[in-house]
Amino acid sequence: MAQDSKDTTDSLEITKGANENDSNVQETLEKSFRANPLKNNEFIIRFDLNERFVHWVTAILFLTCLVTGIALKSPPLMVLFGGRTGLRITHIFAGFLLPFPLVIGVLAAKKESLFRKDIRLLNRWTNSDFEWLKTWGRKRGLESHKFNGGQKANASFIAGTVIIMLLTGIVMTSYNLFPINFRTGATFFHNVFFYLALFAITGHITYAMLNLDSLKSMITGKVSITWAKRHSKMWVKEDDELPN
Amino acid sequence: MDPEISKPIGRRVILSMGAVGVAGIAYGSKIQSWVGSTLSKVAPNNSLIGLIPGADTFQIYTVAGFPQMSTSQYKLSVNGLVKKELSFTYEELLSFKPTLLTKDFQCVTGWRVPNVHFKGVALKDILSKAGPKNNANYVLFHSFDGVYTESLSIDQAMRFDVIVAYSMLGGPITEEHGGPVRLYVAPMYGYKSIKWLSEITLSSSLQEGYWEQLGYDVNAWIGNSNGRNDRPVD
Repeated sequence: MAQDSKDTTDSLEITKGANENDSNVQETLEKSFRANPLKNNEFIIRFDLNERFVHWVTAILFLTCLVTGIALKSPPLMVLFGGRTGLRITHIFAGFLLPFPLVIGVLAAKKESLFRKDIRLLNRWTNSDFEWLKTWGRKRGLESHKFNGGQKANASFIAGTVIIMLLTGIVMTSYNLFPINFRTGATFFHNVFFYLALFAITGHITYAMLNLDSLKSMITGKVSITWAKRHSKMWVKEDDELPN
Repeated sequence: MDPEISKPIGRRVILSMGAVGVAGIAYGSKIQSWVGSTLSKVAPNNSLIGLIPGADTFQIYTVAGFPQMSTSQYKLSVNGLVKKELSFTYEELLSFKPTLLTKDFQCVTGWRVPNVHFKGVALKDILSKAGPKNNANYVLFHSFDGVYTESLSIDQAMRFDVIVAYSMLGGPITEEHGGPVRLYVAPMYGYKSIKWLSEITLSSSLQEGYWEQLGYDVNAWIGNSNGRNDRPVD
């Protein structure tokens, strides 16, 4: 766009005078593109490669845990998957690996990276996020930042669930080190949070299916500016104001 | 960042949930027994209740799937240190004097089903027929799933409340409960009550059963083993 080849000069000459406003718009867009390389006049980068990679590796591990976990509790499925031993090993393996993609991803990301920034955003809940949660996003005129209250709640809840599953899972697999009552308690809470995790992840996938642009952005990394303005007004606004 | 007031709630949620996990490990067994007793009062015979964590219903466990065998194919063999090796058909088991027991079924993972009806042959009746030799100190049980095993000492095996059951919950034993024939060791944790029982071997030394090899107590008295303090079944 900003290349000064002959073609561009030509076309500029042609449009010159035809509409002064057009070239003004062009200039603003170029300026904004230079200000934020993650943004051009059509798309804005929502998730960088690191984030997307971590998301999908975590998703595969999470679903593996879920499916093998259900099968371990359902005898007909257990038979279908070829018995308890294989399922148990897969479940434990996937479970203990589950936190690693996120932890490694965060440690590998630079402080100013999109990944680190998004985690800071997910941590900080604003008044309008609480308002969003109270009305489940139905209240008009709420201006969300990059993530709305529901997305922040979901992210924290899933992270918390993973921690609970991990703690109880450690007790369940190495019960020799703990009083046996701990094992009973751990098993009970592992089962309870299975249902809560299932609920949260079903909601997460349902909303992704209902908002395909959002799902696509977790694959390609990009969303259209129009979409971003509709769903994350404050985020786009803030990006516009970025000095450099 | 945000012009509005924002607080690090995300971190607080995650840390609180970590605390919930730790508390759950320490006190979860108490909550579970409360849930179990409440649910069994509210809906004592609802099979869907089994989906609720902590409910006092049978959780179906198997280590090697669900082996199938019809009553006409069924055979129970008694061998090892016996005076006479024997084999019983399903019909022959039915012709023994039946023993009826209605007792709680307590699992080592915490759930307990109250007043389960069992009917079968006292194990001691079967063992007496074969005649244990003097050096027969232990009894090893095999499942026809080909994997599961269990053990009892000869004294434990001679108890009145240890039966080779062919009826449970008021009908023939279903496939998932270990039919057509299973063991029911009333005073011990559920893993002793081997499902799909097909072979009884007497020997002079202890051979640990499936879960015992994985660290569970050999003498699995309810309330006095595996570090648990459940109410004994006697």
